[in-house]
Amino acid sequence: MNQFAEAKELFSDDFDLSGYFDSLSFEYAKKQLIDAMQAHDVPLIFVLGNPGTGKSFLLNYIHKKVTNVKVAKYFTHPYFDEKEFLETLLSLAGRNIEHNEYSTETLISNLKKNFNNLEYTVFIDEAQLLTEDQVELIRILSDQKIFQFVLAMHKKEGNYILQKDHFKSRTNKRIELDGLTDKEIGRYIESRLLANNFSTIAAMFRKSHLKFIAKYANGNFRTTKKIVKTLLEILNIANREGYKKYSKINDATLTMAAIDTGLIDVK
Amino acid sequence: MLNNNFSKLVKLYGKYKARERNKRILKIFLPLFIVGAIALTILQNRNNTPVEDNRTNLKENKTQTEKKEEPKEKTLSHVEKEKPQKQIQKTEVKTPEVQQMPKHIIKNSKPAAPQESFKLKITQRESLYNLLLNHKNQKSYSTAIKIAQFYLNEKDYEKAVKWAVEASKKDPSQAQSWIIYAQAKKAMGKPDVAKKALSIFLKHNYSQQAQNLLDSL
Repeated sequence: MNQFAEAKELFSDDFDLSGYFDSLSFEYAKKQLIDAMQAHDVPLIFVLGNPGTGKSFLLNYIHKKVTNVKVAKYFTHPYFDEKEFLETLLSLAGRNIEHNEYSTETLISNLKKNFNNLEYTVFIDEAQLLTEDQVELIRILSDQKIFQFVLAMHKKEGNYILQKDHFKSRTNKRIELDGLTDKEIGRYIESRLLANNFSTIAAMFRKSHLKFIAKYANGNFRTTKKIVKTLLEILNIANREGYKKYSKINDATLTMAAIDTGLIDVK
Repeated sequence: MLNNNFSKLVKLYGKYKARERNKRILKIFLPLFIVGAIALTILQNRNNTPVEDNRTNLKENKTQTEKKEEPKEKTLSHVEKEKPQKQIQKTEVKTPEVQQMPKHIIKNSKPAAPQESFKLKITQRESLYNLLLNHKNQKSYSTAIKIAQFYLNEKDYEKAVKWAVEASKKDPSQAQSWIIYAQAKKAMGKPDVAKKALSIFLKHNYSQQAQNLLDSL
């Protein structure tokens, strides 16, 4: 396996926390979120951002790395059953609960006995997928100050949900996560490679190459990773199979990466 | 893993490159083509604008050469053909007397009359230009007859005859072209030609106005 094959794994689309990157927008959002969680005074916090800007990474990072906040549970996707959701939360208090053992009202009153004053926070990712009933349940739990909720959702849908009566009149906090700047994209690629001893590959990237990637990534963290990973895969194949023309980073290989990721439509 | 296999990706890249090259060529040549097209139309317009009358003369000549193929219906051009040849008359032209310049030029005394006639000439030219332009676009009886009427009003009888002939070619059954023709001929001192023309018209058509004119001749 050549170095390109190894390096491409660094740009997989996962929540590997070693890939932490201190972009200005991310750092600002992180600070705001931690402050709000520590203050325990806002029942609902909305983390809004376009897809691929790092909302999930932010929740995951705080859930796993930040110790001075109390995250009760991190739901990576909205739950589908109200009772199941309440039972999961109640089980956090150390009780073994069987499914359908209690009614919804009993579960809520039990939660109230165990959790209060917004001491614990519940993370719900992809919250734009929540149904009306689920949103109403979250409103009840947050209104009674049982849990503090952090709802991460796409900016477009989030703005729409925030206009609804459930949230319009209630105290909440909005944290917006912006995309990466062109310079940050370049810095991310280089620092990621250098931190993992791929200095030779990092040196192959010229300013024009980073500019090309930034142009097509359009500030999107996920797209940046996708392009770089595909580029490294192309270089890996070209070096392995002996295609000299495509064995280095140049316009051809970058364009091929953009074509393969669907950013350039040729068909 | 790539979404496309490598060789397919290379092909797609080639296709993309070709497309980009074509785009670049188009970017360079399209403005040149547009500028060229605009320049060409301007040049064509310049060539088309001068003297409408020459054009109509040419057309007239053309139609005269093609007369054998024309329908048997009589138009004013037949009458024109039958007219006697012009006789050149010598006339003396008096040289105008030269007047002395006034010694004292009175300020603020503006001659009003010449300005008015100048304005009048301009508006007349404009309306003639519009009429000619209309005829160029439509080439119909109505546009030709308007020009004929214009020249008749201007007492330019030669041209009035010419345009009356032009109008009658478009629609020989209309009385107005024959009437203008007859009026112009009469004014030119050729009442016989006018009579002949009107009688030819009245043989095949009916018009009270044409009849009245014939009676008055």
